Amino acid sequence: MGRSRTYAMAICLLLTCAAEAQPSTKTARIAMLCPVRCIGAGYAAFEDELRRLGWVEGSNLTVERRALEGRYERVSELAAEIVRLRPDLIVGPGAPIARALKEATSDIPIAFSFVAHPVEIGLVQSLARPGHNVTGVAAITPGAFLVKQLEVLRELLPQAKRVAVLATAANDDYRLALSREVPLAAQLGLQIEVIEVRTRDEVPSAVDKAKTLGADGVLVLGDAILNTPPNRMPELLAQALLPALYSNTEAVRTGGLISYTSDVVAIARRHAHYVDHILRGASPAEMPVEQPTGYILIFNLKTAKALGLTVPSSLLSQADEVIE
Amino acid sequence: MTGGRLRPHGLFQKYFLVLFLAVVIPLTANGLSEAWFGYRDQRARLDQLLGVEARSAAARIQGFLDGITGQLGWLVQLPWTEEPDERRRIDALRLLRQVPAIVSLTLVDGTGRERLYVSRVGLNRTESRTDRSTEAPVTGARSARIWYSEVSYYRGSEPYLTVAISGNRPSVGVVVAEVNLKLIWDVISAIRVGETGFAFVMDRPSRLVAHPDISLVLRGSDEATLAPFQAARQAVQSANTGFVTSRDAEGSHIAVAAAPIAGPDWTVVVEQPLSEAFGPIYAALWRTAALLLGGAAFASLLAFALARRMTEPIRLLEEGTERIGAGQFEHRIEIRTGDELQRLADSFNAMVAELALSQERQERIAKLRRFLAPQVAQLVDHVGDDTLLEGHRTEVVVVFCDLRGFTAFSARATPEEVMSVLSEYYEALGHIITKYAATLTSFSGDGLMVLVNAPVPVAEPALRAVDLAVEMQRSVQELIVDWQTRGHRIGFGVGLAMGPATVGRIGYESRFDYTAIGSVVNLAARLCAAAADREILTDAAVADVVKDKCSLIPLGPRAIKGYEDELPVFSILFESRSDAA
Repeated sequence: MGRSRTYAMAICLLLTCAAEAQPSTKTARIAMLCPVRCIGAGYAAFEDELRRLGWVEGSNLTVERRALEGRYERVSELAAEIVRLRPDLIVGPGAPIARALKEATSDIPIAFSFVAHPVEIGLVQSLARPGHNVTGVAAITPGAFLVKQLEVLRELLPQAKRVAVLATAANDDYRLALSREVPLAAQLGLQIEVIEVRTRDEVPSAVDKAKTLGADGVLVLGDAILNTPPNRMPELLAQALLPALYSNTEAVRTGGLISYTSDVVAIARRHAHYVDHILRGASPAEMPVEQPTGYILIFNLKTAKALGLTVPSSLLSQADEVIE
Repeated sequence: MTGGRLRPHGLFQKYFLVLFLAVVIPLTANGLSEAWFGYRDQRARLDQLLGVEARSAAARIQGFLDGITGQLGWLVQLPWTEEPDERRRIDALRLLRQVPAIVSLTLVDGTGRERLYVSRVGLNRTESRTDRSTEAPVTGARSARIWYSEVSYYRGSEPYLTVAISGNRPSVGVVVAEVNLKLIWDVISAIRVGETGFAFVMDRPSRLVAHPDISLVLRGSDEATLAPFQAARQAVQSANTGFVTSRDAEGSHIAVAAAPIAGPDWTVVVEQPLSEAFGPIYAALWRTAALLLGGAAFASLLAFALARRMTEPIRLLEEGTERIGAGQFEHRIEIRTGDELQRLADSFNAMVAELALSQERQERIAKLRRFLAPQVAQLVDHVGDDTLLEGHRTEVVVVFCDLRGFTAFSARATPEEVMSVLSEYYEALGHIITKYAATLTSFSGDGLMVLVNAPVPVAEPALRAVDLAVEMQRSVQELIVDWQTRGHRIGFGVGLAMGPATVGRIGYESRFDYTAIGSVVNLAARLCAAAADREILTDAAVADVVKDKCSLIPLGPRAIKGYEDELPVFSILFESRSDAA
């Protein structure tokens, strides 16, 4: 009797373990709203991490993707469309999208990423306890990262006096950062020219404007409109002979000069963990917003050489990656 | 001793209980002691194991911090000059790259002025010369070389620690680093206690510093989240020895042990679900229980078999005695156990055989007694066989006697009177027949027939028969006197004859009589019929034998019914007792 009972228990245990190991018993349906297109290193890392956590698209995971193609004016429309699909969870990268989603639904969980100031723009009540249906991974430790980027740019261009900042007006994160941090740039002896870019079509004219304004360098902020190919940003800036610091490592790999930003891939992977937890029943209201820990500095020496720049060794020693 | 109070299977139950307990008690005692000692051993092992796990976890966390302080040490080796130190700036920036957990570094010179500040996310400062000599990190590092701050939660969420290190002399200054403790996660999540156990770290005011579930840490000093961890830590600290049990956030029981991390005054707590920690002991307990159950089942089988083996012969004996008691003497008790019980059964069987014999003899005697005098019956019985009673031809003396005028009396008198007379009459004659060891063959009404010399031969049968007849007359005559006073006209006559006759048992089944067949019987009957009151008539054969011993009166030849010739008849004289008196 004792033995058969032990066997029964062992079998139960095995079954339970098997059930826990296989989320495939249930198919989850998530939706994703992307600012431009749902492609890139971040999305690849996100999907890869989901697979590692047992969520395989096509088998136990359905992903409904909607892309804004850079047209932020459509964000509310598409957010509403996604909410009508009634997915188990919505993935919202970037402040404008996360905000539009939050306005569209108060019950479907929303996992955001690449948001710098989730508390300030009203996505969560506090980092420790979001309190509603929205949580996610913050992209940047709130502080003075924008001015930190300017500091890196100035170290590369010690003679620079005027720097143009390319920003997206629709992104609250940047509006906040600019209003707070542009005054700090005075400490660095820099004059800041903020050039707003509303759509991808405006990128060439923005570069022209920077050139016309006599900028010595350019800071390209992290918004997807400015960073997602094929917007030819690095090419246009190279043609204009404008040294630029990007908030996106990919831009440097495709010809940009330098990038200093939080580790996008690491953030995307953490983002996948949030999705996993919520799909397994965790409450977004109880899940603290994580802040990034890793920052990546990357140089393209080829571009530097083309621009006739010498990268100081103090910067080179900090670089995580140098493209030669 | 009535059947109601006696339990029908009391002995079986007693044997069964005793045998069962004889096996089960030692088994249980052994099982229980093993379980108890196993439990204690497992506790001791667990104590050791969790202690080791806690210390090793503490060592790994300490290792994480030592890694950081070790790197920081490079920045406080050379004394500061008044000149800006570009080399040190590059060293600091390189250190930031080297140690991801460090968010910012502040370098303070020997006089306590800030010379350099580098950060991952904020603006760097060089040569600000702000006086930081009175700030806690600087004073702390100066007095203790390594100084750790309290853990602070950046915006109420991410835990940060400030570490300050001074060099081996004041002029090299102090380095103050801000450390993002979220990176301990790599260390803490790699610690596994058993299968599902884990470790977590709490600071002095009992806030979570590190936990495999990072979101618990990021909740900052949230009371509800911290409560179970604080309870576990409280329990293990107040116990002060080994591991203790507590409950986790889900309310499950856990085994908890703790070890201190000296530098920042943190505590590493390792916990393991009690079900897992005590897994081996539970398995052992199950095993013991199964063994006990099996043992008990085996013991009960054994006890049943043994008790049955012991009580079965007793039951057979009991049943046997009952059947024998009920008269079944042919019953034998079959016990083949080869022990005392078999001996008992054998002697019982022998006893029953004896009993059966004795019973048979009793029955036979009872039968013989009906017609033999008791002493003769005893004798026949003693001889052991009744061939004596089988038919054979022998010389017998037949004595007949009856009452004269009885028929007329019985017609007149009341039945009570008739029965009273008859019982007195038979009582008197019975005594005499017994006294002379004669055989009463039959009686009917007032007449009876007695044999002498059969079935047991006697010495001088004729004389004995005569004496018998004389005594009968004397006794009955006495009665007659009495009867006459009561107004009954009754006489008594006797006839006897001697000669060869066939004697033996006649009858069927249990209705057997012993009798004699032959002319001598007829003769005696005729003589009796011919005899008057107070008269004893005999034939020549008897007279011939007793003529010298008794006074005979030859009555001459008489015609006897059934006989062609006349036969000489003799009357025996006798003195009645009243005469003698």
